[in-house]
Amino acid sequence: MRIKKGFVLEKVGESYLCCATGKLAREFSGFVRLNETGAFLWKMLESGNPDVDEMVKNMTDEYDISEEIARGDINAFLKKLEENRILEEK
Amino acid sequence: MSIASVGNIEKILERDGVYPSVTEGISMRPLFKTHRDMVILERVSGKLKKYDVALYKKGEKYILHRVIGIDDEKNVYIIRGDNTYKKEYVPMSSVIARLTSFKRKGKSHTVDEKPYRIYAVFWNFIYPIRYLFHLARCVLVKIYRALFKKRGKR
Repeated sequence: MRIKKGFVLEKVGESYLCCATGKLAREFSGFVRLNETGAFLWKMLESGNPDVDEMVKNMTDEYDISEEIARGDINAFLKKLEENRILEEK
Repeated sequence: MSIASVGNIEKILERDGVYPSVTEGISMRPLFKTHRDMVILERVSGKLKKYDVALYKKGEKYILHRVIGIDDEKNVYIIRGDNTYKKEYVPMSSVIARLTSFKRKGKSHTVDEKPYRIYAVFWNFIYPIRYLFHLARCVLVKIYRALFKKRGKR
């Protein structure tokens, strides 16, 4: 899974804001607001095509959290992305 | 993470102080192109300056055009899109946000950057020339249409 092509991420102050551009703008209006961790995960899903285990590993490497918490956070994050049809399978 | 849908710009500005959006329409070309660029708008505190890009509400529509003059006596901004040829007189109270940064063709910029400032001043400075070209083009299009009777197409 990965972030659909067309989303643009921009850091504003402490948070990250994201809008859909190009063709995607027609199907996704509005915006996504992310914190630092959210943006970290977002970027992973933007550049690569990671599976959950990879994401958990990257997250525990970067942040001082347990694997269990990381997995929970990532699954919740992915669920929200899926609900809003931000992800595509590939 | 929060996901907001359009239609509550004022509420979001009130809450967060900032509102991101993808650009729409041709009135701010060549700076912004429909669905290509992203703008970051911030809630207005205090008065805008000349060359600021203002978001204001006109009826149900939100318009993002440039301030090209300020009338302190009447409390209005004189506003015009970078690609429009008509001045808009907008009450200061109707302006709800100001452009502070943007992502154009995938590159981030702030409105404080020098190249952008130069563009804004230059583009306004050459307005009379742009207007003449615009008029000339309109006339040519009319002549062309009259000669070849191509109607309904623009």
